[in-house]
Amino acid sequence: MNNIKGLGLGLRRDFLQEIDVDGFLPDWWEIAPENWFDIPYHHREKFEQIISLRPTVAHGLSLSIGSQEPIDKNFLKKMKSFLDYHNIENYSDHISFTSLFGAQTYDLLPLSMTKKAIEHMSEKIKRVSDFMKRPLILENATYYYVPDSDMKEVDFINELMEKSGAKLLLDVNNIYVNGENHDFNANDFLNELDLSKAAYIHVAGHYKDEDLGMLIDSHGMPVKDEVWDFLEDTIKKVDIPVMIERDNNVPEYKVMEEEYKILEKVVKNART
Amino acid sequence: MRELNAQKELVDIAFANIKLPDKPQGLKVYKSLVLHRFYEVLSNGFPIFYNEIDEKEFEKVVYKFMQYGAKSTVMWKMPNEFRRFIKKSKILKDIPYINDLLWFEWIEVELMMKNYKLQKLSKFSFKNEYKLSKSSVLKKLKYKVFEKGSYNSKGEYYLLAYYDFNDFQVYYREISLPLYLFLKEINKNGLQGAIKLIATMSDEKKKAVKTLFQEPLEELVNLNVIERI
Repeated sequence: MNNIKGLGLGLRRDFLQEIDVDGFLPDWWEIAPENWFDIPYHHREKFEQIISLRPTVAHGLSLSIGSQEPIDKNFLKKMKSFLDYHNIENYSDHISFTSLFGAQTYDLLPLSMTKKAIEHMSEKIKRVSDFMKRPLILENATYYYVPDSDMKEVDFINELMEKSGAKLLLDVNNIYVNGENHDFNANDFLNELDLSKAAYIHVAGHYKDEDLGMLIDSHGMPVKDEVWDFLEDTIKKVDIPVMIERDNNVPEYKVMEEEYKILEKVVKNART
Repeated sequence: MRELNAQKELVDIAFANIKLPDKPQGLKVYKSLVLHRFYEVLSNGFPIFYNEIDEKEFEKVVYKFMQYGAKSTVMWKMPNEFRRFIKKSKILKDIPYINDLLWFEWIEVELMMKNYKLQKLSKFSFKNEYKLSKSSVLKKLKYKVFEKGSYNSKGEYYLLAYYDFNDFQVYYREISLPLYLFLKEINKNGLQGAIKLIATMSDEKKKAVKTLFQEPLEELVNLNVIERI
């Protein structure tokens, strides 16, 4: 990540108009590009102004890099033209699939963790990176169920990054949630992960679904204390840019500012 | 192959309107996440329709749509695919006004999301040429879906929907048949063609038609409903 430093925040339409350009701004923004391909008229000017003030990275939702089907070329063209137009250098998506045979699920579905899946995805990743003229960054996703697999998640990710040349978007909340749901220790996972491939870090909120007895990565509430602690441990191992993701129940901008201040403290503690 | 089969199995389960066994719990999570996504976008996109239909029935229709397959990679376009699916599949044919209602609700989203380049306003003149702007749509409806409580009223209704650049809202206006025809004709054969059409239809002189349409056209120019070419 050669153009971002420090701490970031997910820019959401919900609070776009609340942002005072002379007031608090994070060091950098992350946007979900698919949500900005088409911008209502009254948001366009503000959006362009806001992202011109800080470096911005794009974190996509619909690439479906893991699906067993070819890449949607029209989608890629649209994405490239959006990123080029807004001068966005860094583009990421998820280690998951969202569509199959063209039918969208609009959710991040888990992949079979196998050598074949790695081969298939690595080919696609290389084609995407070549076309986009940018290295692809991929986030370790949450999974609530393990489809037909024969590898451990950490080995799957390490090998995928190695073979494909992709960078890792290290989501610490996802590691924590997966650890709790699948009975592994998040710190052990982190110790086994090849952190030299990590580009930047996501931190987000989750909740416990009491009926299912599982943690759900909702991105819809403040970051939990245990995840802040885990983030601190992570930064001690790999000191790279970090940002807060909030996609649901998006609060007022001033609430996000308060959470950003907590992030600042956590990062500062980790460094001392 | 096993990787593809695993994906097919998961998507089939997510899209099927069935109750899952208790284990594995994770499948239930995905089923609920995917349904929630469609349910939320469609109920927000079609709030009137959602209020008019029984919740269980709505969920059934959402599942049928999921199985049919939403193709758009951007979620805001999903309601339009749903609208087309309902029209094509005729699965809600017991609601006679369904196609008009879904159009009525969808067009608000479409007009809100369009990428506009606002033209500098100039005073209307019959000497200039105009076309219907990107921020407005004309529609002939069979049901009065634009009036609460009258959705079942069958007839011929002419509707103008437009994006208002002053308060960033979409407005609807029921217009007369002559104005509807006039505006449609502007796009085909220009302003003079539209005047000629109405004059021929009404057996009036062109000058009288101009007088009749002067005021509405001035207003429509001010609202960016029609724009100068």
